[in-house]
Amino acid sequence: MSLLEARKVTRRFGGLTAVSAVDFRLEPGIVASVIGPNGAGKTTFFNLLAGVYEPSEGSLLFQGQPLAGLTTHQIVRRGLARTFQNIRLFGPMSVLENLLIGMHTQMKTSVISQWLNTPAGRAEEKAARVKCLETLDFVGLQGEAHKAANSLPYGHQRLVEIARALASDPKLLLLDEPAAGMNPSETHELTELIGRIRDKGITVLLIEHDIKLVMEISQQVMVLDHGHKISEGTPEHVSKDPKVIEAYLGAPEE
Amino acid sequence: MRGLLLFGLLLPLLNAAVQGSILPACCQVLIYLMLAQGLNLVVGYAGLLHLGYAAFFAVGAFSMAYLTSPQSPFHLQWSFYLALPVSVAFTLLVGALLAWPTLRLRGDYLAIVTMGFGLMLDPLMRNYDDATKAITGMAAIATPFAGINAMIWYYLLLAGVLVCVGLAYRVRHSSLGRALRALREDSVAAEACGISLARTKLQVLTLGAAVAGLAGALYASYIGTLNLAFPFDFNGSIMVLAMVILGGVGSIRGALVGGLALGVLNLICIPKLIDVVQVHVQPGLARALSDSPALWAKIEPWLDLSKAQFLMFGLTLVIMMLLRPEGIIPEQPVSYE
Ligand SMILES: Nc1ncnc2c1ncn2[C@@H]1O[C@H](COP(=O)(O)OP(=O)(O)O)[C@@H](O)[C@H]1O
Ligand SMILES: [Mg+2]
Repeated sequence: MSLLEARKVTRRFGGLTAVSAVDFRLEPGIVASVIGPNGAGKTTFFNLLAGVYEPSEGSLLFQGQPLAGLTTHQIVRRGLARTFQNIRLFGPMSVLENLLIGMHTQMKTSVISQWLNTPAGRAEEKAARVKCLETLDFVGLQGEAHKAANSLPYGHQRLVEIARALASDPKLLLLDEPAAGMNPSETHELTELIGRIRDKGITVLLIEHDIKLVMEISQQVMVLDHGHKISEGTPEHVSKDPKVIEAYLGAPEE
Repeated sequence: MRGLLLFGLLLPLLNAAVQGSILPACCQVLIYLMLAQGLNLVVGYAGLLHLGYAAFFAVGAFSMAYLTSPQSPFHLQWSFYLALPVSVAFTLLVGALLAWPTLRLRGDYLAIVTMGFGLMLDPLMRNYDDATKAITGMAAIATPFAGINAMIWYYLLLAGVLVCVGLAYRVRHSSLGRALRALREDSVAAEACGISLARTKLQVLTLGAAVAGLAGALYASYIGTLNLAFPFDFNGSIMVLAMVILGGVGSIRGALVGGLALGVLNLICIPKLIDVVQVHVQPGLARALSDSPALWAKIEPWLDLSKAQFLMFGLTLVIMMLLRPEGIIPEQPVSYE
């Protein structure tokens, strides 16, 4: 069974069709990418998966279950986490607290027992902190836990956002342009991190403009242009597809 | 914080020194401190504008009176210890019911609904005085034990404040507190972390109502005879809101200090000032100006400061907010070190 399946998904905003009849299947355990020029509908596609928007037509299945009617937070509980194209951290809060918020769905003790400060509540909170610190180590941010999130350099903020998404223990991680604003060495580390996330058994779907990164790490690439899927397949296949070259370079002159 | 507590514990000694005249006002200030903590959960922690908080205070107080007073239309005459939790639970329920329709709507909608509730409750209860005893009032509301005095009440209410502060502290450090901060900061990102906006809002609004219910029930029992008057109306809601904002939105200490400052100002300082002017300044001036009655006639109306009570209160508020727009003690991020 596919981890994720989109069937003829369309999303319109007024007269504009941002995503148009896209069919997409994602097998578990791989890294896949969505590429395409600006305004192609990539972020909108992510927002449909994350439940920010409902499809105007078509349906989405996650682990065989329809996502229709589920809100964002319910979808997160099912194991689908995401980052944002424009970083959306809880800026003034510490990095650790950002991750603890990411772990929200994992906290099982009742609010009442947290208020009464019961041993079970305390133990859970302590375990959560340990797990968040491990996740920070995993993304390479050890030692940054107690800094305010917005005091970190841009590239590190991207990593915090990835760590926060990982804290919810997802099955599928959506990364929207994670390398944007990173320098080459940061991008290299990010590529390596995405590989390690996949090795943990978490499927990764990313939107990326850095073609080198995409080619290096993805097993599967989908190309969107003006909301339409114009090509799909392995990185080699896609990069040789004349339709893709045309979309990126503009239509050849008559 | 410890300093404040020590001051609170020792205050009755000071009271003895000034011949016991400030203790009742201090008890009222303590009630306000509880309300400020409760409203701070909603306005500060959650960033939701609540404009009818005093109405929940009224629900708690009237529940206590209905359940225990011999003049209550329900003739129940329960004991204090049974009526207290029931009053709190009932207020909590009212809070939840009122929050329910606003959950799916934008934040400002809550301000309108709570304001509507606050404005509606007062005339509604007044118009049906036979049924509600809102104007007639109810006396002999149950107290924790017979022969309780102002000093004991003072310490009981101080304990009540400590309970509210403790609750606020625990909420701040619980996953609910984190969820609230996240929602306030960026609700889209918070939802993407698996936080339900509706559920979290419902929890905090319910909790805020419960604290108002507790303060109300204690107030009714303390005051003994209850009718619908100042602290329960819209002005009361604004007063508590002013305490929270003045102290520093979202800050526990801020709500304490803001509540203390405005409570003392409004219940002790301004009345004392009015008193002093009336008793000392006015007769003195009258004597001094006895040979120019025309001038005296012009000045005299200005000396009745009770008419200017809200003006003085408002002016002080404006000046303080100009001096410290972020509040006296602004909220600090939670440290996990
Ligand atoms: N909420 C929205 N309302 C109206 N138009 C939108 C909205 N979100 C995206 N769009 C439009 O949809 C198109 C695709 O946008 P987007 O998905 O952000 O593209 P990409 O991420 O591929 O650059 C753009 O033309 C954009 O203006
Ligand atoms: Mg985009």
